[in-house]
Amino acid sequence: MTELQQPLSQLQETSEPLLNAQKVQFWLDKAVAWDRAGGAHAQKDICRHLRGLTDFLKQVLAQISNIGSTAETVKELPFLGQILGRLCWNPYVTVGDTNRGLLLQCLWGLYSENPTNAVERKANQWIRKVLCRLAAEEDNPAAEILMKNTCVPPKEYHLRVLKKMIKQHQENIGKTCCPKKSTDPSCRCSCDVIQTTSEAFVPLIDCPEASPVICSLLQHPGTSFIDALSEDFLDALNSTDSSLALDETALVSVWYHSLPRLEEAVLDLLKSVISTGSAPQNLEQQVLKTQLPKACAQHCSMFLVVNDIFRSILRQAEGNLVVQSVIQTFTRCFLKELEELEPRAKTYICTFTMNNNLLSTGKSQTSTSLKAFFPQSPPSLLVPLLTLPSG
Amino acid sequence: MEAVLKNVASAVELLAVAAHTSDAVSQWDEKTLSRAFHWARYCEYVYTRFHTNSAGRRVVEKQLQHTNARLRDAFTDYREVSFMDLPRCEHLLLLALLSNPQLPISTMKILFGKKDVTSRHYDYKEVTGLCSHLIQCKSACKVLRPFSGLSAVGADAEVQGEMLMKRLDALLSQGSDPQQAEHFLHSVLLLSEEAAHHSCLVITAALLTASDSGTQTSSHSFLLNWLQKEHGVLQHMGSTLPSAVLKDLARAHGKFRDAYFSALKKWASEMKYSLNDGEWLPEGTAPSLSFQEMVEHFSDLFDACPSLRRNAEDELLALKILDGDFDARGLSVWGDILSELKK
Repeated sequence: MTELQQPLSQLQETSEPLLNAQKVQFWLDKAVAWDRAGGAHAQKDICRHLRGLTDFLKQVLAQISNIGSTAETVKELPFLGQILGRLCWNPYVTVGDTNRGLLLQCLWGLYSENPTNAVERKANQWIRKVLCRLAAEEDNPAAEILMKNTCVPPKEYHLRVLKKMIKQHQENIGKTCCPKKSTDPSCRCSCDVIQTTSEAFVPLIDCPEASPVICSLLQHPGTSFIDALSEDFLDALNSTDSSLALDETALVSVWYHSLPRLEEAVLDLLKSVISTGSAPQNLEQQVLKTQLPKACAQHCSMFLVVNDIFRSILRQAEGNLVVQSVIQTFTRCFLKELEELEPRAKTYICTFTMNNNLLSTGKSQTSTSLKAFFPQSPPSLLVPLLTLPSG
Repeated sequence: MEAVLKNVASAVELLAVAAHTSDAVSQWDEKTLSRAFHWARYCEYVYTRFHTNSAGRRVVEKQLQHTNARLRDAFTDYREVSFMDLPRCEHLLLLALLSNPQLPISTMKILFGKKDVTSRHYDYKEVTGLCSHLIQCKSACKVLRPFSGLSAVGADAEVQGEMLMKRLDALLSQGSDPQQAEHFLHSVLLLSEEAAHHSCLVITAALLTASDSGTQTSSHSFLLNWLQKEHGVLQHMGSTLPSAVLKDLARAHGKFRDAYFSALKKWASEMKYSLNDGEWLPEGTAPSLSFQEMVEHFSDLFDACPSLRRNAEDELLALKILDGDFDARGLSVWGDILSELKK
């Protein structure tokens, strides 16, 4: 459906513009500055630029593939080796799957299987040397001596240290002064643990080992206040390419804090149903699996966003039965979730197309629920629409 | 046993081939790579099986000597493999391959590929992304290290303390010469002036590892005895570790409490009163603790170990009497310490 592809095209990447000298100079200056400042001092600046760095590395990769020869690439981008080399030694860059993957692909792109000149041979040697050092070098002599004397391999040692650090951060989040059971919205956590931890974990958004802390941050009651989580952390959540290994509660929290991610989830559902052509009996499973109905039942604000997206799509895809059945199934699942959440209040919700066809209905005893879910609709309109159609 | 020895010999040979810059490695594809790492892991299994069995260990060591001699003749720059190298064979193999310019780039790409811990659908998943994952762990540790204030000694020292205790347990439980255990402590703890602070943290972490078995208690005891002989280390611990940590150590180990108390007394005895400054100042080999800091150390120790307080105060009083039993400030460091403590 061409109409459907319009909102979907927002998700498509536009083709990367070619690198210019200014851009390369900018990133060379950044790489040098980060190197000189040394990790922790430059942390904030590096975290702010991680997303931009991803775009830059994608452009570099495209350029390397376009040019096709290492010697020519070195001629056109003489500082590329320096930039890539410095970035390889920056742990804030190599810790995340996305940037590390792109960096490695750039190096592979510069490797010549059959080198024909000195430049290519030298590049090959340099690439092997960098990779060997990255994987094998230990910068802590005391730790290295202990590893050798206790027969512990580096792989095991570093993983154990990382797991311990992650555990300590998790415990630290758990200790923060907001009582977990507090439902008082005016109760604010006075310590800045959430803020500093989320800031520290910005570069680790796409590091699978860090997901327990990311989940804890997202699930912490204190994070119901937007400014508890660091801005950079939310930005990184919004923009990471890799799928986060999140559990149900954390996923809902991500959507709560990140509108683009919620929109993406809704469009992904529609895309997958349309492309795979689910049988009706599987459709409900597919919809439930996304956790969207549950999330919307828990947070009215999310329902409003999803409702808007569905309305917009219905307008564009008028008459499309697949789209209608997705929305009907979603509504059914949403009602069930709401019922489970508030079993005493029987909820009738109306969703309707531009043609005023009732797709599904429910009845509410609590008018506050109705008002929250349909803030724009006057009660005089809602009341007749609440009545079940006869036949 | 014969099969095990044969396998160990083959694995060591494989390691030698991996390191050697001949055409052999240029033929290594993902299948060969996977098999090679499988052999490396076999060596780890052999270590685990025989490291507490001294008879079996001797037989394996003899085989290794034999294989090393053969390979020394066959390969220049051959690096011998000892029994203690067996648990780290995977790492030795990785080092050998990464330094070998003959390793095909396509094979190298597998090692640096994406490690997908959830996927069950690709072959050679043990080797795919091995290096990538290692780089990620090392980088993550570097990124999180500045936030080490979450634990008293830091995650690195904690893990190293655990490693130290495990090895010490093994050495002491094998009934081997205690000198071997001492030699081990010397090799890993007394590194350099610069590393002194870190060694203190590791010792602290080792002493604070939960002691839930008989072997660990005797290892703690051994470590404490060693510490008492190493005055420099104890001095460094006393003067640089945070008081909360020193309190924990004193509470957990009576031997540490006593050794620390003795050290404090020794440092206090070396202080000299300066009329110009109107204060007791450290001299000689004593750590540069101010008088106030010295008093705080005594106070913290008595807080942590109330049972020590009465006898300790009596001891300090006896020392004050020996000095002339003066009450005026500046005449006896013991008198001045006692009067500060009473405040």
